[in-house]
Amino acid sequence: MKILVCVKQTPDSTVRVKVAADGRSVDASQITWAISPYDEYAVELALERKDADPSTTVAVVTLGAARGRDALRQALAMGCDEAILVSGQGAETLQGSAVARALAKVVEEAKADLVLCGRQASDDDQGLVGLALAEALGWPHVSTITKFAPADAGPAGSFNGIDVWKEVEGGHEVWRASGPAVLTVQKSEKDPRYPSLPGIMKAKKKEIPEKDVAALGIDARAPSLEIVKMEPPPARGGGKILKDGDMKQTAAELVRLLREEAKVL
Amino acid sequence: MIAPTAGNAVLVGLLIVVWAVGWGLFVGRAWQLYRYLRLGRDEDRTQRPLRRIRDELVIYLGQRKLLKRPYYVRGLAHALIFWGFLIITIGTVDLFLSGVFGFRIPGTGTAPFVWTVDLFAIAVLLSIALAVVRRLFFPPPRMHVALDGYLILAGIAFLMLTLLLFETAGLVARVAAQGFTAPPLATLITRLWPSPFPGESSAVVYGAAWWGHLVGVAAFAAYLPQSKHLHIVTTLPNVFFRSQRPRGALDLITKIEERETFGAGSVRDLSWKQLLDGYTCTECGRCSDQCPALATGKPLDPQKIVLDVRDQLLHEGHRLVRDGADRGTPPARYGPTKTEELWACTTCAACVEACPVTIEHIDKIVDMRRWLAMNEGDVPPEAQRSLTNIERAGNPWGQPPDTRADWAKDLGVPTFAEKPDAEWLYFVGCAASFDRRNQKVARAVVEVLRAADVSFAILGTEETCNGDPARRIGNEYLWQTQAQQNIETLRKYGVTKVIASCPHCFNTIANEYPQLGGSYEVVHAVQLVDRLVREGKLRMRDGATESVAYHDPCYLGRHNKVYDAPRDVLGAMPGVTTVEIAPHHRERGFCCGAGGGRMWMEEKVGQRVNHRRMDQILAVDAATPVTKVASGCPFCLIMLDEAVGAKAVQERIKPIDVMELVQARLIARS
Amino acid sequence: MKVWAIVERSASGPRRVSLEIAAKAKELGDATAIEVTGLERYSSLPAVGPLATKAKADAPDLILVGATPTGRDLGARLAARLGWAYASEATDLAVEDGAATITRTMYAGKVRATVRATLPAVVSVRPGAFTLKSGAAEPVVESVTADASAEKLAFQRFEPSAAASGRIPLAEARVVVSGGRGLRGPENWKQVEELAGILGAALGASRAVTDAGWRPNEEQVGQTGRTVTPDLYIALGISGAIQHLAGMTSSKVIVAVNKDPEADIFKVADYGVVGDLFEFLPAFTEEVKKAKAGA
Repeated sequence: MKILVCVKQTPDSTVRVKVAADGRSVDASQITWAISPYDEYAVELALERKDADPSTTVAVVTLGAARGRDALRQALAMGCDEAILVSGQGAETLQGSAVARALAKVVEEAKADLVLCGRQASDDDQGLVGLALAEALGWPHVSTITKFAPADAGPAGSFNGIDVWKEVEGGHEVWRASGPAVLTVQKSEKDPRYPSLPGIMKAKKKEIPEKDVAALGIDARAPSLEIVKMEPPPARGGGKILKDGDMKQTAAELVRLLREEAKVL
Repeated sequence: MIAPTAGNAVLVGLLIVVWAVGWGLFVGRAWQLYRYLRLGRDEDRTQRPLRRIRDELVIYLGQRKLLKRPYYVRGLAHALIFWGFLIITIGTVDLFLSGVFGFRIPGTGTAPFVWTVDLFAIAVLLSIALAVVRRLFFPPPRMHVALDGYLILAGIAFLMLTLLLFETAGLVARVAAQGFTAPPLATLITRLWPSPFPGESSAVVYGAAWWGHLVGVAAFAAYLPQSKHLHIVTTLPNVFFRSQRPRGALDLITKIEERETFGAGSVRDLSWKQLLDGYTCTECGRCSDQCPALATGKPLDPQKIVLDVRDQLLHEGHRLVRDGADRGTPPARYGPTKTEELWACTTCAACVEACPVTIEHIDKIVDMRRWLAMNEGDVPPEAQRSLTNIERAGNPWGQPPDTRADWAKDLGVPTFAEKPDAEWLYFVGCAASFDRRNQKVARAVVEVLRAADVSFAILGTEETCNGDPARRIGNEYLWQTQAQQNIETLRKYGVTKVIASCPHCFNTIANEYPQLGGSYEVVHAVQLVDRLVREGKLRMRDGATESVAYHDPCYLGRHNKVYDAPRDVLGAMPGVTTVEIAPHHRERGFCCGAGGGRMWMEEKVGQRVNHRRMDQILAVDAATPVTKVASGCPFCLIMLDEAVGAKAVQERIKPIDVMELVQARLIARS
Repeated sequence: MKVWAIVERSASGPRRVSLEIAAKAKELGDATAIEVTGLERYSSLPAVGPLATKAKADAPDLILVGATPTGRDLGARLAARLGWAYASEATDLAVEDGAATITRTMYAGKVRATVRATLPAVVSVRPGAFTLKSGAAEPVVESVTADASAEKLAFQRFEPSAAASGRIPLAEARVVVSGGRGLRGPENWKQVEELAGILGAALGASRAVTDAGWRPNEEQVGQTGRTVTPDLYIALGISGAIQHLAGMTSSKVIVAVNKDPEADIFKVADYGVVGDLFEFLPAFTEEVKKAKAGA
């Protein structure tokens, strides 16, 4: 089985994202880049499959700026077999459904049986590309999965499709896909593996072929989300402190604040 | 005395054969052990030869590390047996030479020598009696009491008894050589009891005892290398080749980018000295006695770590010598619980401190961790998280790196970029930068330095984790990356003097950064305060009357021998009475549980180390009530803070950093 | 302007968020509430086909879905099928000049963005983004029958999580209620459990508490436990050691209750209550109960 994992390089979760001076983009100067966390879970799940069945090949693809190569190296170091970088002019500004069409080309060329994506990228937090990719391929998708395994029916060694655990409220639904499918990953049971040093060294030396996004011959037009304004969320630490009051009143006031101001109740 | 073999070629021949067989067996086994030893990787252990000779005199001949609290009596017994053995060996060689050639070693017939021999023979016998009684009736908790030990003790006793016996019988039989002082003990015996042997049997007894003694020596030689008592021999090179690095420094992996395997994936990857350690261990269990992990029920036993290396080498050695491609079992997987044992270590160095024969436990553990961490990517998940955090955010907690200097914002502490001519760099460290409790310590350091007019600056957001947790967890590569980044930053600003308030920063910058070319004058903040107080540049006023227990951080104390500076600083505080957490203080201080990367690992088995530490503090407190427990380490502080809460004494005993105590008593500059 | 609201139904009727978007749709213009029927269990392909066909015929300008797991799944695939713009997890929405202006968070909540999507568009809307006015009429729901023939997946079974305890796993929870040593003992967790039950929250604990054996290890939040990022994190009697903060500071809203006003937890809290936990907790539980009942 060949698994293709689509990853996106996003600011590392430890980075404090700052809004740039133009007020509509983020300041990229101080950013450490990493594989988006959900995508990292996707890589881990794919590699766990490979651990269980070494005949599995895991390829990883990213689309965007050339620095995405580092994310691919990270994935290779974790144990992926091959990596594909889709870059070039226009790659960074490509919108969700056009990204999906470009990735669909890569999936077809790589002859992947299964595609894994994170449930959403930790930059735009849209959660669109994986599903739009399934649409572009004409494949079914299962979103927010935490596990998949070959379906157990049929003679050993043959591909009988896969069972997929989709996280839903109160538990998991198990779905079976008998053909190719796109899975978007919520979490892997284990933390994504820490690459071994020999793995890192090997990944450093590995050739990563680069495809020019223009050469894929896709329709790059797509409905866009135009960012009008960006601002930091209300600052932490300047929290409201309720004290000295009657606890009944304080409790009522807190519930009101959580409801009306924070909108979390 | 005239040897019973005198003039009899057959007997002389027999003696030579017996010794040749005994010592032949010795050499054969020794050669085998040496070949196994050479399986280990090369390591240069010849630097500083004069210190090595000094160590040999003090530790091997002087038995210095045996004569230590709480082991004075048994230590002395051991030393007497050892010294006696050395002296009597000269006598034995003399006997052999006289038996074969009729030749005597000059001086062996003089009164001082014969007196020494006899006195030691008695001392050895008494010591053996003590050792036997202890093994039979008061076996030490961690010591392996086995047949081997009794055999050796019996063997030595046999040699002593035959010696005294043939001396006495010889004296009665009048076989004494001309011009030789009569053995004093035998003389005394024959005075009290002129004919101790029936009839004319004294000559027979003399011959039998003489032969018994010399055959016994040959048998002893044959048996010795099969036994843990080979340490009589191996301690000699083991002490000579002991590490002369600062104790807090781990071994550098050079050319790390060009390697294919890392750490100890095979006994071949342990250095020859680490294998020699295995041969040298005499299973006394002193290391295990002191281990905080073992004491609190963890699977780690430092003695077992060393013995596993030995057993594995003896077990696999033959195979590995024959097949150069065979790598055997990875030591980190030797035995079902080995990995858990390795991860339980806090690298506190209590074992290293306790070992009488200078075995280096931590290096083995870290070499095995290195293999797990770098080759296998097999690190406890929560520790891995902190490594990833160091890698990505430059701190183990994964806090945003650009908030590193936020604690100093309202203090107006300059960065080196703002104050390039500052004399000192205050390397704040991650804990004091991000942990709110420890930020108070950083603020205290700033205030104290200002009060003493010290010219200093910080690196601000250019500082990054010193790498210590990564190195102790076994990720040498990450440590090197972090260290190089810091060294590069320090080079950029031309930093030559560094203050650290964290012993882990202090240790790695002072002792390990030189391995990568970063050499600075590094002091712990407490050392600097001690100096400033002495020089009269810092004065402390009367504060509250308090009784402060001092907890020795391992990386300040045992790893760097900074025991007095914090005590002197506490002593200089009017109103403060320092309480020792005896007997777990100074060299025998008990770890807080956070070292060796344990700060970032779960502690699920047994009692928590910091809770045990608090039990010890409370035991002291019961006799001498304490109001504060002071330390000089952010991790100790975090651990002690947790422990006072767990023991519900937080209202009564407050963990605090020494620097905060200083801060509270500062006299403002006039 | 034509606006659709896709209605999701739970056992007790339309979900609250569905009512919220239906009301919003009405506010925006010519509203239709639509529900996909004929599916025992939601699956995207059978649902998307008929919806897309109807959308092409009716040509709404805007389709709203609730930002629930199902809504996000359906919304994204539907937008892709239709080739429309898509925005997820809107917390506010306005329409003018043929475009929708949407407020949503980006960068895992570290940035609040205003984005503009050209219509037609599909937007998923966070529960609670629009307050439902009391007494609002329940919308008339039009149904669209799912197309079972489009299904390419086969449902096997449902595996309830942590069924024994009936608790919500920490990692998945939108709300977490965590207890620390301030709760004084394991016996006081009954009150915490009650609050968590009402909030539909997972239980968390500080390391001190799991170390003391008051709570099981898997509830530990922090450096050596779990890292959580719920919408609401309630810390009860937790002082806020860095070990703990490392595991929860990315939560969207943090509430801290502690008797020590100097406790570090207040430095990261959005709402702090300084006072006696045992006075506050029952009162708070009561108030939440009231609020939930009113909802």
